[in-house]
Amino acid sequence: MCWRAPTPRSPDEAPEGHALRAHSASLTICWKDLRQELRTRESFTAAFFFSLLLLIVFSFSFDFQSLGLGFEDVGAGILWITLTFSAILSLQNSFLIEREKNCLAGLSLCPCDPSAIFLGKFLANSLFVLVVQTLVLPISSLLFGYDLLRVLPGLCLVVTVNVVGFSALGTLFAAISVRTRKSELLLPLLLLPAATPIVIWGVKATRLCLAGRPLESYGYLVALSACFGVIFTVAGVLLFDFVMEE
Amino acid sequence: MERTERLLRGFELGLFFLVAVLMPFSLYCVFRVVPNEVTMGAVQRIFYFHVPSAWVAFLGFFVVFVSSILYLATRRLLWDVVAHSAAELGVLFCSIVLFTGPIWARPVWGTWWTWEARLTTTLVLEMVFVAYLVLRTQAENRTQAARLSAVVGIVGFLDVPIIYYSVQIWRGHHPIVFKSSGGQGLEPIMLKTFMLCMTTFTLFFLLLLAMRIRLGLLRESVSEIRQWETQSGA
Amino acid sequence: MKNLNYLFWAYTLIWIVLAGYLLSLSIRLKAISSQVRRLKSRLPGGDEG
Repeated sequence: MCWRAPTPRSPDEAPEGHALRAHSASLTICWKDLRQELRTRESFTAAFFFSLLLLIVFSFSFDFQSLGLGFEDVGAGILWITLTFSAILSLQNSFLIEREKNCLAGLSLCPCDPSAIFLGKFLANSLFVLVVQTLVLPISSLLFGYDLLRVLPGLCLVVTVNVVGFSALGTLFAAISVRTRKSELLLPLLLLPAATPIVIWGVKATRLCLAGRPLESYGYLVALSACFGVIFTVAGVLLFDFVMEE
Repeated sequence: MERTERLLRGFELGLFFLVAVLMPFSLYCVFRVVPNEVTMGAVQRIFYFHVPSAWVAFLGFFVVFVSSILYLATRRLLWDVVAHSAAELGVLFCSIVLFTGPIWARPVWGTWWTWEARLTTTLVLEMVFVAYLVLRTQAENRTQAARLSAVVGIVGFLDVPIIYYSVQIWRGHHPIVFKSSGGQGLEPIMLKTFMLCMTTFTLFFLLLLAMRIRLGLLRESVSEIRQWETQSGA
Repeated sequence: MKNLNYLFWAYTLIWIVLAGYLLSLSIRLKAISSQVRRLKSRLPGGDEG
């Protein structure tokens, strides 16, 4: 039996290549976003300095040391408000850039399943937010004087799982809001109420982690956040097709 | 469209008469038939309208969920009109819950707002569906509004049990308020009045929904006629 | 009866909101129904589905 090079087919006609194509399309889109970010560093710079400003504002707003409170009493809230708003900035930017460069139509015309675009964007957004947090957390430790190394493994787990869950819902809503007239206003309006569970579980788990409690005491919160991430990743995969229609 | 409109008018008429009979009867039962609750006194009677409003708000959001799925599956604008109407009513009844909850809480707990689980869930839910309504006004065209809001309607409703559960974990349990004696649960007369109010409110919701859907469909007719006039004029 | 004013304001608010919405819906329905009738009468074929 001689080997024949496969003729170009649409994704619907090539079942054996379709799954691989969707998988490689997601990674291609993710890598495209990462490469663009590495070149310009726009989104990272904005998110990082915004996070820093928020931390500074919080240090003026909550003088917890003079109130006799430790960072673990208010720190979870501070970290999560900072993370939430800087994540919204990154999520917004990931699609705004496409709109500004007139690439939204190009994305819709990609010869792959729209769910692959969602997965690629979701992966890239999660990585962006995690990279920003990798710098923001040590700086928050210096500013607020808590021992990050003591809580690092637990905090990394909580932040990673919750950021991934937040990004799943945020990527879908960012794609929706970018197609409307007031996209910058609409994304926080859509995302913040819907992401309440992630914020609640993230804050609760972070508070227990900062208080030095073992993983068993907040493991169930991390598991709930992971379930949230799975549910809304699946929802995004199923519904992104409708969002990308022109 | 005309047949649907005629059906809706018939439905509205029937519901109007039912509600016109049941609503005064419900009010009579709430104020003259049921006894005062042992711990909270007269102010507990707010619950006979507060809880049915919450039920009807959730019913509205469920209708949004189902209609959104049907719209995406069939692309019939009727389903989008149903979803929009149900979302508007859901937000209206959620607002009633959020007004009456604090009015009840103030004399009983000494504070207007307590961040207790169910009120907080209702507040967050209202924000989700207010965002749904705002999204509709910001879309670039009619079809985009229908499509994007259908996605938000589906995701928003899927989030409802998750939000409720997360707030429960955060805040602990809603206090049990339906007791007239030391026993468990509602007294029979209170339970009957409560179920009567639930039925009345559900029928009232269906009446308002039918009217609002008819309004939406008439608006679609106006747009269609105007579009036809523009095209035939050009 | 204790707390009767709270009960009064709660029910008054509910009725204002519900009656207000019902009234607004009825007014809007009446207005748009007459608008549709006017527009349809201008169409060449008369009433179309």
